[in-house]
Amino acid sequence: MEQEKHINDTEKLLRKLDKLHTSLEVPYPKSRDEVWEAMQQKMAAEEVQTPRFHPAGKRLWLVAAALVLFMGLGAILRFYPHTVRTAPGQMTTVTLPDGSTVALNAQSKLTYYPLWWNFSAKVSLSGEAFFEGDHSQRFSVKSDRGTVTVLGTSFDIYARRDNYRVVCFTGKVRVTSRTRNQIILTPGEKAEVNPRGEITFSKEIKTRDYNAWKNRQFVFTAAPLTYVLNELARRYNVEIDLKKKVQARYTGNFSADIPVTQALNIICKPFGLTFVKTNHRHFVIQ
Amino acid sequence: MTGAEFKQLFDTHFDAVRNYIWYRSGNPELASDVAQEVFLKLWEKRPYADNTKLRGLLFKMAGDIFISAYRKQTTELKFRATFSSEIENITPEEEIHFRELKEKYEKALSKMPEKQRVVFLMNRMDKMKYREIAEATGIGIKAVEKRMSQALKLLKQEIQN
Repeated sequence: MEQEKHINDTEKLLRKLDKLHTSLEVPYPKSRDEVWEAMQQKMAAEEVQTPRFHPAGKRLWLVAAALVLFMGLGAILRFYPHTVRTAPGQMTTVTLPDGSTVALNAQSKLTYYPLWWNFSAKVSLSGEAFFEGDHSQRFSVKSDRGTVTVLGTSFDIYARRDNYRVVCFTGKVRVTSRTRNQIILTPGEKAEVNPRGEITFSKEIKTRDYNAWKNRQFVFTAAPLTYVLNELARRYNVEIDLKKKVQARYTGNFSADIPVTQALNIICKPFGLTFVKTNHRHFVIQ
Repeated sequence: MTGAEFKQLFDTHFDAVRNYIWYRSGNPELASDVAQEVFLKLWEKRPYADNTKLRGLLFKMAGDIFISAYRKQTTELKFRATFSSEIENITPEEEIHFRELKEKYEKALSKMPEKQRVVFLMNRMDKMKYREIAEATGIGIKAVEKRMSQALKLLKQEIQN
C-alpha cells in the first residue's frame, strides 16, 4: 500500500509538471530563427575572408604522413636486429634482453630483435648454442629445419646443415619442425629433425655429452666419422679432407684444448687411418 | 557538408543543445550564446564524422564551451520561465494554481544539483529517452536512472511540502 501510494504520488507530480512544461517558455533572448540569421552573417563573412584549404585533402595528407611515420617507427622497432657471429675456432656468450645467457659454439650465428623483445621474444640460430637462464616470458628459437619454443630453462640446439638436434637439460621445450610436427621435451630427452621434417625422439640420454663443448670437451657417442671431423674442423678452424669412404662410428672423449694434430691422432688411430698436413690449416686423411 | 545539410542539422539539434545549457546554467542568454558558438564551430570544422555520433558531439562541444564560459562569469542560478501566450481554456483558479506550482518548481530546480537537473529536464521537457540522455551527456543509462529518481525525490519534497 505504502509503495503504491508512493508511486501514485510521483505519477501525479510528474503529470502536473508535464502540463506545466507544455505551457512554459524559456525566456531566450532570440528565437531559433533569429540565431540562424545572426549565424548566416558570420558564416558569410568567414567564407569570404579565408579561402579554405580543402579539408579532405589536408586531412588525407596528415593521415598519410602519420601512417608512414608510424609504420617506419614500427618497422625500426620490429626489424632492428642484433646479430652475433662466431668464426670457426671461436666461442662466445651472449646475454639476451631477458637476462638469460646463450653460449655460442664455433661457426654459429644468432640473431634477435632487441627492441621487439617485449612483444615477441624470437631468436634465430644457425649453428650450435646452449641456452640457459630464467625465461620470464615464452620465447622461441627459429632455425632452418625447426623452431624451439621455450617453456622452461636450459637446452642445447644443434642446427647445421647435417643435422638438427635439440636436447633439453632442465624445464621444458617444444620442438616444431618446418612441417609442423611437434614434440615436447622434458629433461634428458632429445629430438632430431631430418630434412623431411620428421622427428626422431630419444629419452634418458646423457645430457652432459651434449653441452660438453661449452667446457671445451669433445664427447662423441657412436658419432659418424664425418660428423666428428666436421666438429674438429670448426673447433680448430682447419679443413679436413677424408679421402677414403669410411662408414665408421666413433666413440670417445678428449679435451678440446689439445693441439689439432693430437686430436686427429686420437681419432684416426682406432680406424687405422693416417693424416697428412698439407699446409698450416689443411689436413688430408687417408 | 552543404549549406542545406547544415541548416537541417541546425533545425534538428539547436533547441536541444540550447536547452541543455539552460538546464545546466539557468541562464537563457548564456545558453543562446553557447549554442550559437557550437554551431558556428561545427560549420567551421565541418567534421566528417557520421551523423549518428554527431548529436553526442554537439552536446559535448556545448558542455565544453559552457564550462570555459562559465568559469569566466559566475552566473546566478535562477530558473525563470514564462507561460506561453497560447495557453487556452484556463480558469482563473487554475491559473493561480499553476502560478503557485511554477514558483515552487523554479525554486526546486535552483536547489537541485546540476547533474540531476540536466537529466530530469532533458527527459521531461525535451522528451529524450534515457538512452539518448546517456549518449548526450556521456554517462551510463544506470546513472541516468539514478539521477532521475534522485531528482524526483527532491521535487516531491520541495513541491508537496
